[in-house]
Amino acid sequence: MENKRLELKLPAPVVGPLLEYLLPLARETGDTALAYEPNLDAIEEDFRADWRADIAGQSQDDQMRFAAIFDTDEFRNEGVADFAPEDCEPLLRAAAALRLKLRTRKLGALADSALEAGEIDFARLNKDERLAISAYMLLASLQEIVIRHLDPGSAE
Amino acid sequence: MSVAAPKTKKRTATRKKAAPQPTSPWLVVVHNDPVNLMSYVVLVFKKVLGFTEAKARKHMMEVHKKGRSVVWSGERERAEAYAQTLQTWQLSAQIEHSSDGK
Repeated sequence: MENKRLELKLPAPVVGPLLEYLLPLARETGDTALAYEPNLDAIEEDFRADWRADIAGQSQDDQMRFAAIFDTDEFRNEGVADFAPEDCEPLLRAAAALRLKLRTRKLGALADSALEAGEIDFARLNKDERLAISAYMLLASLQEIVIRHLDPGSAE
Repeated sequence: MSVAAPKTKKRTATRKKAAPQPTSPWLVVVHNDPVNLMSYVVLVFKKVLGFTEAKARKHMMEVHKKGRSVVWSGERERAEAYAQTLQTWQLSAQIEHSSDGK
């Protein structure tokens, strides 16, 4: 892993409202921290509850770390966040979890193909859906920045 | 290929007794999802499974185009560890027994 701190600079007027939208999602605990229901069909029945709790616990930790890093005056006012190399992986996982939550809870009306291609007709979305898709895209940008930092040689 | 050990932080999930091991291998299967970025999936395959860039991209494209890819096969406990680690990375992973005929 790249051993430098990563400084992220994003336009504050854009990220401010999206941050306020994402923080409550990121601070969910227990079962609600679970971004999706893991497929445990082949797992022994007496092992499933612990397995599921492990996934939810890790997901909760990652999303809490995300909230701690971005819930700062500096990020809110200037769009600047600074984080350590060891935060990169939790941030990536948290961003993935939050995107999955947005997909299932807020963006269910959108077709998979439209989401995958990024072909979104904003004019057809209501206010909440616009916030959700903007947050969804912001998280993707964050993931791309962190991935380039972790793995600069990887081809796109 | 050397395969990195799964790094998931295990909290409570510990197997009380070893299940009987079939002779045919268990498969770790990753399914397509419309949410995770291709570059993210490649990174996860490299980190969790120890894949090279080329192998990670091959499996990512298989997931994307065919809907699923078998990313590892072998003994059950290790397959479970890989599947759980991939799930903590928010990938749609599961284990299957190879005799299931899928």
